[in-house]
Amino acid sequence: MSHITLAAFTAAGELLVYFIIGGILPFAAKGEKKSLFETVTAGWIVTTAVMEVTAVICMRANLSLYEFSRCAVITLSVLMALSMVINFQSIFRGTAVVSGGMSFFFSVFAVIVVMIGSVALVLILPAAGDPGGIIAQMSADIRSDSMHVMIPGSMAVRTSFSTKDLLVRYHAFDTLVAELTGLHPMIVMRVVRAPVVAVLSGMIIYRIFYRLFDGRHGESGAAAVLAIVAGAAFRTAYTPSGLLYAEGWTGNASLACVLLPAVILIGIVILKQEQNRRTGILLFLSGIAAVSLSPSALMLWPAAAVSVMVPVSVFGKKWKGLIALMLSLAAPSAAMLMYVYR
Amino acid sequence: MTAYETTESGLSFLIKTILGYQAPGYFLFFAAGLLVAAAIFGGKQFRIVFLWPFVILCATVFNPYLFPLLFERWPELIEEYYRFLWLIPAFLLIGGGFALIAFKFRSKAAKFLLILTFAAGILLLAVPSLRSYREIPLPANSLKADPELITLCDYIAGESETDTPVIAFEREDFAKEAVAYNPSFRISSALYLPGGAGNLKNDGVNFCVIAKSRPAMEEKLQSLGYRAIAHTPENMIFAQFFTGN
Repeated sequence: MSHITLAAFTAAGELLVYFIIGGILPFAAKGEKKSLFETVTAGWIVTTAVMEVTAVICMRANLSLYEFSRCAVITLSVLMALSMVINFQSIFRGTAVVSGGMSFFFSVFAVIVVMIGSVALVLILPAAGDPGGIIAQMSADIRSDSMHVMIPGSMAVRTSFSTKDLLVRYHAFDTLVAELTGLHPMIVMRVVRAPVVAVLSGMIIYRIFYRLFDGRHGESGAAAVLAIVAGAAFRTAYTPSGLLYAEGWTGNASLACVLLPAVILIGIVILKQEQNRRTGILLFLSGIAAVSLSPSALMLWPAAAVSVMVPVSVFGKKWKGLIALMLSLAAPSAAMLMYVYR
Repeated sequence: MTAYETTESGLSFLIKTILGYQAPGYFLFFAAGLLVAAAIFGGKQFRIVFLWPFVILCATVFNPYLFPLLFERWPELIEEYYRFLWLIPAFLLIGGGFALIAFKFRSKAAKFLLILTFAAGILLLAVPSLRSYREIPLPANSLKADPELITLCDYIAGESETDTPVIAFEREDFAKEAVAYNPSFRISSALYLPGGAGNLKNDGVNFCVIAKSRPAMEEKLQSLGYRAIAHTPENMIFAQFFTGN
């Protein structure tokens, strides 16, 4: 099997893992039909948060990459098994997920636009030089069977971790994928991670409009297509869509294109549903996921969460949303204190 | 990055940041116009989700009287301030605003044509940024590697029959930098560790790189089954010819 074929299967497998794990904390309230796109989004949030906690603990315990891989695989397997148990009845009845729900024309067009973007990510060489450092570190970790211990290039041993080294563990999952599949980290980042981020971004955009337009397929699809086209068209190296197409594998791209829109989606779901504890838990986990993506997330995620959740709670009269917000700020605040005082 | 002068007003810095880092500059103002459309046509939900967060952001992170105070305390924020613009869901506003306008019409044909027109308009307006993306040149030698090393690595990569050749460099610095330049290489330390030449066979080394004018080392490599296949201004490349004992 060629590397590209294996990478394509790996990307599909990653989305499947997100879908299965998302069944633990779906956006849908009890009795509400579940959405494929929202389930995958929830799975991404849960997986990123869990991998962050696992990676930080393993790094602090000076475990090898192999030991971290075992911990991560066991943890993810337990989550997937838990999801299957929780959703056993609906899996048995064949109603585990209903559909993304789009009018035919706009669904085809949106899929084409997202696929073009994903292929463009793989084929167009980026001019950014920074990812070389990330990939070099991943390669060094795999070769030395360690977690961020070897300095790439010189292969000297780090005597201590900076706060950023310790907390920004977004690429631990990609290193795990590279180790399990045998793919080079460059391929995992360019051909697996970047298109997965593009597809997730498209899914979240569609579901935001589906919820806002009260399930009207035509308007939701049209708005999603226009938003994706606008994002692809208006870009520089500093806009979110520019990040997606220039360095879609980085934590900043996931932050700007997946996590921040996911916060908007969480706010809309809380606004439109009866009090739903699961969405509050997702908001909390998204705070932990933010810590893993980038130091910038410690400024941006709280700003996004507060700006969305305060109007939702006040004008939507969803006061428990404020409680969820306060609790969710704990992880980014703790990380911010570590950056300042460690 | 945009510099911030302490005598500059916060509003001037904010506009300069928007125009500098969200080009074409009219993109965000465009989205702002559609924010108004969303607030008028979209109803309570759109106002809560898009308008009020925008108001809160304008009062806090985009407040031209507040962020200069943050810059005094944390000057490093100046370089990163443009990232706060990611909080504005501009392309969501464009998509949602246009969809709201188009679906105010009853006729399906009118809705379809309007959506196509809006999409075409977006692409036409964005032609400058699409064109500039094609013009971005790839950086040459972005790793700042020694040109001699680049020549050696490129030659070996071209000659190698395997995807992951094992290479022994006499220079330790070349050994470490070669991996960064070409991650498919596998490196053996046999030539730069004392007495390690005997490990060339054990390490399965395919290529050896030594300095020129080293007859003793050349003889040693030939006795181990390696033959000189190329040379650069300062180095010689030996390839493994015998896979037996």
